[in-house]
Amino acid sequence: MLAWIPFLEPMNALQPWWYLLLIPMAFGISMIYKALNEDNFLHYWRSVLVMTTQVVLGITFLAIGIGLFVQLIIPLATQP
Amino acid sequence: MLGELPRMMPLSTNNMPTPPPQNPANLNIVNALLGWVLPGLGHLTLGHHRRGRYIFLGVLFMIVTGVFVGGIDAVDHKNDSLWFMAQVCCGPIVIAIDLATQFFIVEAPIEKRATLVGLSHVNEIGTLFIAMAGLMNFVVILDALQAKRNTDFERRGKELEN
Repeated sequence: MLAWIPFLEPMNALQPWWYLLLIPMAFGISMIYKALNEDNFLHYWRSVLVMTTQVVLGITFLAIGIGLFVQLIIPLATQP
Repeated sequence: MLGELPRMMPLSTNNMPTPPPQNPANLNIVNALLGWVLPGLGHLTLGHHRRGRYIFLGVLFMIVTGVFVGGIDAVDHKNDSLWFMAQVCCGPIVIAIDLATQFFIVEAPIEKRATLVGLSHVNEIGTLFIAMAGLMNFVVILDALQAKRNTDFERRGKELEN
């Protein structure tokens, strides 16, 4: 980690925590999307945060749902 | 039945309504090109100052985060050519990163290259960040192509005051 050169070398310390990068990705996408679609920029940052939360929660619930489906329902369905 | 058909149909098409001619002058081609050169610049030159600033901040945030996580190897037109097609919509910034990749990584000796090339999740996520920025900027460019001039919130506010 100490020998890591930012922006030149990949940040390998994030390998186990890669899924947390969903949060900045959702934030960046929300920033651009709301910049295009927002009429009233007075509440721009609030609407960005709301959209970020919606995206993160949506993907989290989707991941939980798919996880449950793969771990519980498929083994039940494939039991003889 | 078939014999009645020609009587029911008009013989000439002169009376048919013609579609309104499309005016190519309504497309802001120069602004769309500027939006590719620097994300948000197309909207800035259209008078959408806030929109342009926020677009620039958003696209830059995603590019910087992508390079921060995945290193400059997150942009590589030789090994990730399909991803590069999405990434290049961000404009010359991405081309500059790709040139840096070719200069620093491809030309480097193998032991140096091992530390610079991203592997597994960080490489994937870094590449994805910049590709998402490119795809979002493509939407921004399409918006700049057909946006009306001076319809930004602050301009509208000034018009209402007047």
